[in-house]
Amino acid sequence: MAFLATSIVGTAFAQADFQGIWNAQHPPRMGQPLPSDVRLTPEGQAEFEDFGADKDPTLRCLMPGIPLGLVDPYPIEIVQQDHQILILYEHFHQVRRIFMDGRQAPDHWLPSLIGYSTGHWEGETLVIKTTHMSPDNYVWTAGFPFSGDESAYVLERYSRDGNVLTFTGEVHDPRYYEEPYVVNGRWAFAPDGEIWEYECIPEFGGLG
Amino acid sequence: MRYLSAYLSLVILISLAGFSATAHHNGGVYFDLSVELQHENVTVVDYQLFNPHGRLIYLVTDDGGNEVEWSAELASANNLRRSGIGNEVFHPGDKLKLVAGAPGLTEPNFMRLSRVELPNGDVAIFSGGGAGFRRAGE
Repeated sequence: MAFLATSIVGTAFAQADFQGIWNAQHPPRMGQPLPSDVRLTPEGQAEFEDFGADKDPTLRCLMPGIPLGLVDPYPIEIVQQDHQILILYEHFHQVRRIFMDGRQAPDHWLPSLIGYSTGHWEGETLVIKTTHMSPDNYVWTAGFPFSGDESAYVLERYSRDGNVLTFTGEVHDPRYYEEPYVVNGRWAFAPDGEIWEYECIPEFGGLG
Repeated sequence: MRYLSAYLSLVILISLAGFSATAHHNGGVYFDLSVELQHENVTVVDYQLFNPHGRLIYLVTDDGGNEVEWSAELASANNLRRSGIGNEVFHPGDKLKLVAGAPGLTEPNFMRLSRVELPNGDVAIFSGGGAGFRRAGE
């Protein structure tokens, strides 16, 4: 009974139950668009052509952050609380806090790999907006850049259909993209799933 | 390119989608995913599973009889272990029937590993949705 009460309190303000471990079952190309469908600005195209492994934080054992880490081929665990939703990634032990209580990023918040995320429910769809993302990141390893401008933001929408959690992410970066870069993801509910330690050795960064 | 062709066993077209499931990274910037490079009868020098990428180092004999060292980049340790490919799969000195993968574009003697055939006929798949072991005869 105590467990039941805790569960009810923990999800009191949620419109859908996403709690638990989810195994990645992403579409082909990890849900990324075809490169030919991505519309870069001239400045974005120049960055694209200058792409190199040095832009990838994960090859230095830093977490992928957002937008690079929107999808990964690893399990995630979602914890829903009254004031926030936690997304715990196996990949690089990344933790995201999605504030659900109406707060906004404080003035002192610095750009970072994980940024600052707030969320709300639209029916049973969780909508997340992330700002304050670092320019020391990029959108995807095909070479798509990310400016890290103050105006850049990422919108995510998560919805559950049975044991499947689907996701669409829009990277809004008008300095580098003529229109939002859109990525899709899909996870399967895994009640017996496991989140493993992800030790990372920089000497094994490799090239991608 | 001249030296490469001397012991390049076979180059064939492969599916670009085959590298998407276990690899976090697209890889198309660093590897030529449109071809498969194959080396036959190689000797393992080192095999290590780490994140973000494992590594297989092996020796292959070129047409001139010289042993040449190659390095193959693997998917992450976590993904490979989930596929049943662990630390014990290869050991220094092991003889492998075939090593195949996508050749590197930016470094010599470097590839992204896709599969390995063992002398007993077992095949270890290192990328794509079917990653894991396929035992001989299955």
